[in-house]
Amino acid sequence: MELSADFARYVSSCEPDDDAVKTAKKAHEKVRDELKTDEDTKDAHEETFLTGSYRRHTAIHNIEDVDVVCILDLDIQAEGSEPEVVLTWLQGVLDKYYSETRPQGRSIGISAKGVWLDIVPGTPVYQDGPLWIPDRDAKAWVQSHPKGQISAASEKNKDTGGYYVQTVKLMKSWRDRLPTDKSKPKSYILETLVHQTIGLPTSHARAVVNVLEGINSTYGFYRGLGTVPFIADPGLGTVNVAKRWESAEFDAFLDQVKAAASTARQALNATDEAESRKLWRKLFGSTFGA
Amino acid sequence: MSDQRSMIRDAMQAIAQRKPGKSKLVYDKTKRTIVAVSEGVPTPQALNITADDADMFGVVTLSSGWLRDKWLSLTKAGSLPVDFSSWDDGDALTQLELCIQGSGTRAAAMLVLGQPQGQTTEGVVISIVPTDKPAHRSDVFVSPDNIAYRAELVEPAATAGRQREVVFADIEPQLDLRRAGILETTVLKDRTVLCIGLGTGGAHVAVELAKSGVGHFILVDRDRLSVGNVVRHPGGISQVGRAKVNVTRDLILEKNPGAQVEVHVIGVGFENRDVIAGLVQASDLVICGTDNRQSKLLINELCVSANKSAVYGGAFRRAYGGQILRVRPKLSPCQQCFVSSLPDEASDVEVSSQDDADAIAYSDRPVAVEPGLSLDVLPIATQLAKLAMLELLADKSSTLNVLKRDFDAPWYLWLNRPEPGTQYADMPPLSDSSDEMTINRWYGIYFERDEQCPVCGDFLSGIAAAYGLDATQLPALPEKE
Ligand SMILES: [Zn+2]
Repeated sequence: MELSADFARYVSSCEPDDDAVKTAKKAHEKVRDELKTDEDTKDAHEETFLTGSYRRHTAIHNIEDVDVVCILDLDIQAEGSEPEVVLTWLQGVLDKYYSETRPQGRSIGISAKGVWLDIVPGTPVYQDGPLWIPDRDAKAWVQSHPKGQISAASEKNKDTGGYYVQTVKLMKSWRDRLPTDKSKPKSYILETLVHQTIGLPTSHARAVVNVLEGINSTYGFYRGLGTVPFIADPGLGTVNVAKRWESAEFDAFLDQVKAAASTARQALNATDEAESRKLWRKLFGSTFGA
Repeated sequence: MSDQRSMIRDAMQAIAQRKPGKSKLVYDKTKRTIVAVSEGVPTPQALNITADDADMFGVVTLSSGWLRDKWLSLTKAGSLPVDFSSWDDGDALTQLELCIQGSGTRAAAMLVLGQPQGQTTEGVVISIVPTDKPAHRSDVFVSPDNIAYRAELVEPAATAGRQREVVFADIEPQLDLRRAGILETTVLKDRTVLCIGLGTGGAHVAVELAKSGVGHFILVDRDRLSVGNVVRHPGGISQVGRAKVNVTRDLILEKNPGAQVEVHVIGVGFENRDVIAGLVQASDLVICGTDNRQSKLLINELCVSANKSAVYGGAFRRAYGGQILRVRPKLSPCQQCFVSSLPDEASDVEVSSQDDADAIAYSDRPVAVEPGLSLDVLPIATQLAKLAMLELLADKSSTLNVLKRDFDAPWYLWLNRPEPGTQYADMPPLSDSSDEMTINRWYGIYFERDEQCPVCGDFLSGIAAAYGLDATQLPALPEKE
């Protein structure tokens, strides 16, 4: 059964609470203003914008981090524009304002009163197109298209009558309950998989079934092959969101998907309400339909 | 340079340890990069020149790498001779060091540091003077001692009259720019491809791989370019009579001047078995564009025993289509497995030279040299090059790897026209077919490895099974090298 009311209530219980939203807003506005006006960054700064699940409205519960992209006027071919140099320079600037700054692979993390912000420097590949983003480990500038990700998500959400964003939240909540860390994919991988498989659902229940069965039929083939397939970023098809996914983790996730797909199908097909709810609870926990 | 590098490192360390250092990282707006500065020391110039697609009409192009190398001689002597290729379709002058073939008319010139002294009598004079323009522009050269210069053309009175721009080219970074984000050029630069057979298909594949950034080539072909080849081969009429390996080497270098190309004017036969085996061993991937089955089988044997992947391509007669076989030793069917499953006749093989026609006539009947358009052979070469790239990029991250899912069959068939007299004569028109075989399409075909293949399988146990013998009682096959 589709148990629409149960799903609606469950999704809203996943929403980040108002306080978290307020704190996050304050924090990102502050750092964006600092980057715009700071003596060391104001010449390089072109614009900042929000990205990540917070921006795409796919965050759940606590907002764990907020991604801020800072577009710089950089010649990435020039000496001094090596990813590591640019990231360290940015960290030096942020050190002036924050007591906790942390160099990360493609960004500088800062802790701002309970909110973790990731500041990602970037420079456009072409006007309004993808960005070059520094990759410290690869020692290279790599392409990413945060604005493309935002518009891909919002278009998908429009096309699915609003089910997309809510299904991402459902799937994240399901993922967070998986028994092993190994089987839990990164949020953006999961979001991409939902994007690829959601179809045109008519209810939350059908969306979840579409996604789980879709992942299983598209990627089940790769399970146990020791390789992780290329999973194209909906924001920029040449980027592989699964690039850092280990094959053991991929396999563990696909095992979970296979089992969950069968449970979800049974739950949807069940004609008895109590029976159906019991099965959905296997996926979403005891608060579902409570 | 090294000073700036170490200052950047100092500053990075200071930031990482949150301790003040001697140097600080700051953004430099003119150079659009990060530089390290310390008090009292002037900011050094970044050494980077990029050209964009500016209007290249009438420009003079100088290699900045060459000029950096020669800088000391120029500053000592005050002037330096330099040779150009001159092209009259835009009055472009391209420094000979940038031209592999050195075509065009040769034009001599003199580089002069500062304004030229006295009367300039003949030839072109290029005067190099300091400039305030930002260093990243293509018309600015930054010397090893970090001073920005621009160059100005002082032409003899007769040809003067129009301002020409002098630009500097840093070849490698500019070539890489268009591949960045699509290909791991750093991986491909280290890869060695052995190309055997440099007819139309083989030569095109080699040139495509050079354009994609493959860094090392070993070329093998015994033939010379003939007039009859020219309509299909990328080599042109001015190359007739040269060995195809040399023609192809120059085409490769025109596209990828940094490539290393080794050439061998030899045929593929049992007399050269050891030489070819050595070349296979030295390569990461073998591309086989030879026409005859015997040489393919020999190459197959050498590749399987050396555990090297190989890609085999060829056109059907009159190039009405073609096929590609990709062999990953022990993982996919090999050329021998493939041939064993086909009738042993030459009728469906395109034969492009009389030598091959003679070699291929297993049935003792004469085989004609088959015509085919370059247009029909090129799609096969392009597909072959793509498969080759996927092999070279195996396990590496690359945008091209999205193709792995599409290209996982061992055998690809290309149909180019419904040739009368073939099984494809009645193919439906492209427009009204949905799931039938049509022209202009590739078909991936799966077939099984022959477990008892004499090359890649367990031949002995196959024989034993066929004759009801105990395999352990059979004498061992001679060791393969
Ligand atoms: Zn075989």
